[in-house]
Amino acid sequence: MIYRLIVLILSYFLFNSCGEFRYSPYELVIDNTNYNAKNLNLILQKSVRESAKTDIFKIVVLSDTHDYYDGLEKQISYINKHRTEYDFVIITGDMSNVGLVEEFEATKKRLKKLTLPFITTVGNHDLLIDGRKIYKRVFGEDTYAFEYKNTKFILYNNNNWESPSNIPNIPWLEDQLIKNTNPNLIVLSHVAPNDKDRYSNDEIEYLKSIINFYNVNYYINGHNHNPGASTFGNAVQLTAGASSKEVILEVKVTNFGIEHAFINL
Amino acid sequence: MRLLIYSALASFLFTFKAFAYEQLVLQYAGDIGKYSLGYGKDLTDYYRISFHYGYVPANELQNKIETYTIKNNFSLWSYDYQQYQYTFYTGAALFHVPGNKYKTHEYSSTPDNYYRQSSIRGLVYIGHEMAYNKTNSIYLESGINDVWLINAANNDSVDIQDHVSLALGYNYRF
Repeated sequence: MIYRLIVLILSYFLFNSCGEFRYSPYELVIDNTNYNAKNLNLILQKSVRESAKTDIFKIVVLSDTHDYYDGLEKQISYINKHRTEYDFVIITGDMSNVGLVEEFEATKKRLKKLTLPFITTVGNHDLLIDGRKIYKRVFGEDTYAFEYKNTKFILYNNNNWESPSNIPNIPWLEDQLIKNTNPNLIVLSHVAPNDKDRYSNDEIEYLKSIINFYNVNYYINGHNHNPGASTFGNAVQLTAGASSKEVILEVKVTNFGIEHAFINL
Repeated sequence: MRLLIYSALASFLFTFKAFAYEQLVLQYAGDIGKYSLGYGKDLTDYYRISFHYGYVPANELQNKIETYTIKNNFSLWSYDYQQYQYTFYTGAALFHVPGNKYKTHEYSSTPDNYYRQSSIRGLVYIGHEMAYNKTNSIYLESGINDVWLINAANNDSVDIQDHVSLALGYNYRF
């Protein structure tokens, strides 16, 4: 009898040895990691170190990792295996599905396995519920620009439906384009610039006019899960594709311009 | 939605004696609040239903979170030892967190049904309850919500153990 009681009590702890006491899936308890700031610092240091040697470099662009954790792990595994080929990784948003802390934590856990620095901008799904606050703490800024070797990168939040009324901040974007002195210019956002559901024809045409005027070479976005290439004005427009498609988008900057390739994993 | 829930709770409380509650439940954690208060009834020897109101206090990042839950416990196996009754059960719950942002987002600028997201979440769990003289009991539950159940089913790399939510509770039977 006593033996059975001991077995029963032990089974409590056996069955409940995993897990945590969670109060709510919506509770905001998350470390302030600010990966964008930390990793951007690493990227800029590398730029300073290597600019004297070469201006040629290659990066990877991922997007829409959502809950495609297996696909994301495959992508990360490929990038790490070929880490000497790439300088850094950019993720153009939708790193969660419904903007929950646990989702961001699961994505973060996988991204930390990358042996290259990574930076992000925000996607529409990341802004659901309290996702804005979570994104800010995990990744940091969603709109910023930097120069790497001979290329200026501009990342900006253009999720207009899920953001305050001043998003996308086109005056800011235009200001960054005006200030560019580099031969190469790459703009990245989550939503495609010609998304007719979200933007009016006038808005699309105005954006196209400044992309053309300031000689943007490439416009790279996510949101649409199918990878692909087309044009937006005079710029090459690339859709990185979701992690579920198990494709890597490589962007290579050379002395003769910019090239891209989609690698099937 | 809140009016509907209050109406359901009131009717459950004050209508037929057959539906009168007979248990008071206090629970800590388990995805339905830091603390939740509920009342329930054993509708059969194997099935218990309970309604809970849960509360998560505000913190520096968020306002308070209120949760309304319906839990359904199904007894799988029970064992009596002297004045103790031990029950192993499984269960499924639905919980609702009121507030527009839990359905979509704070700006609500998206077209209707763009996200097809509900403010009602599901939870499945297993539990163990130890009762003394069938009056006072404590229980421990291990559960997982619908988001991670689906993610674990769709991804080999998702370890379900990383997303288990524990609950500790006390049940008083009148």
